[in-house]
Amino acid sequence: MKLLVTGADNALGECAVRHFSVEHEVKAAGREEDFRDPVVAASLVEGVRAVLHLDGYSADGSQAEFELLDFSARGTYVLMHAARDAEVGRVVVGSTLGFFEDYPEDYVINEDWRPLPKPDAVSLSPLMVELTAREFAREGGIEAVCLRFGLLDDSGTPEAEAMKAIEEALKLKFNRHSYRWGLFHVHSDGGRFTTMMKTSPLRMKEQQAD
Amino acid sequence: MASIYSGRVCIFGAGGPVAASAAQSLKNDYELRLTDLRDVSEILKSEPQSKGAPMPVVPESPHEWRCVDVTDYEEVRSAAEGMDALINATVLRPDPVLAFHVNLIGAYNVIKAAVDCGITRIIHTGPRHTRLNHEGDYWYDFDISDDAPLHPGTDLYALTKYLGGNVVRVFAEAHKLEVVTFLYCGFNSGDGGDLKDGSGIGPFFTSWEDTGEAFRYGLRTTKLTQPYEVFDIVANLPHGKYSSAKAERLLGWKPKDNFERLYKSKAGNAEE
Repeated sequence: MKLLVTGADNALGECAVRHFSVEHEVKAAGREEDFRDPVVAASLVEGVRAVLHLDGYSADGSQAEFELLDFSARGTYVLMHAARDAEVGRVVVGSTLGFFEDYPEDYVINEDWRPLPKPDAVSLSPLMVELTAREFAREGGIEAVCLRFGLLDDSGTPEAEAMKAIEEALKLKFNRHSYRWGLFHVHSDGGRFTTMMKTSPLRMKEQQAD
Repeated sequence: MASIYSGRVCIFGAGGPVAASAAQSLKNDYELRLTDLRDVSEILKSEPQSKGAPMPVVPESPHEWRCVDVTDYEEVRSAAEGMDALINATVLRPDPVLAFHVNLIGAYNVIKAAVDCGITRIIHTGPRHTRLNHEGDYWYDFDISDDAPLHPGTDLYALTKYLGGNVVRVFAEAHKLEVVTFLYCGFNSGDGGDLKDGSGIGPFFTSWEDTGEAFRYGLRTTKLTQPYEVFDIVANLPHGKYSSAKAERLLGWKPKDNFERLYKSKAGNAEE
């Protein structure tokens, strides 16, 4: 399968490029590939079966606020448009569990909890990615699975676990009478972060067992 | 809770009709800093946004006009300094780049400047789109609450304003601000303009006159229940879709123009 991976210059994207290149043809796009330009975006999605939009997983805090927000929101908007126009069947959106840091530590957080990003561009950027991608799925013409990851280590989401979740998201079957958007937490710490992979209408874990 | 009955208010996007309407209503009680990308003299050379839409007027002292690019944080912050409240009425619709810059990053800049300048009362504005051509847009629904989450779909204008509103909400909640958000859809002059009796009107319309007056109430209310409080600023129309009840309850604002002659048949109008 031919895949496009955005965010190829962040930790999650780099890992995905390495992992999926073994069995798939991977186009890697870092921030140098400015997919806010519709021509660039169209070129990137040409011929791909799925997009791993991982650019929003971690924002580069050294970037100006303007650029961070614009790349996250407009970049996602243009990329999703291009993917829909090119009839890309599946988009996997990489996001962050950092949204939930401000909840008390003894709270058990699943996908039902509202994100609490901090009021700054770094923290808001992944939310802009999620909200924008969500609206494409709501409107139709594309199916998207959003995965929220912790840090890519044993305290958060180990790389192997993250890649396994993306593999599952690529295979996930959507019921044509149900949602076009799936949202799952991916974290090794089942105490703090839990997931509704079994109970959501998509039942990601059950499908995995099938 | 701050109640702003007088003092200095900065309006961003002052060249547009919503802000022009607001300035008209506020000018006797507040000292206004009117800001827009273009100078008012240049704006006045262009046509109104639609027939009957208010145009800004050249301000007289103590009011002032300042050219501010809302996408430039330093300019926004400078304009916000010394103000008691901010009103963000900026909007840019069709341009695929500038819509993000003005509607999202502009909103970020205004709310960030409010925090940096210690300003707690902000009035933010945006659209309540009623017909976006997808199944999540409430088009076929009734009794739609002011607090019903916006579902903008991929409409450029609706989506970018939605993202900007989310940014403002995050700031408001984190910094315990008092953000009043006004949502609008269609406008007309209070008398219905050139429209014929019984020609009908959509479920979310507001007169330009009522539009401006709402800002006075938004600045003065002490009844906000949350840091980011959304109000549908809509005429009292009988369709059963949208309502001014929340604005009446928490702001004390009540629409005066309700377009009866448009939604009543010719016979109904003749009976009155």
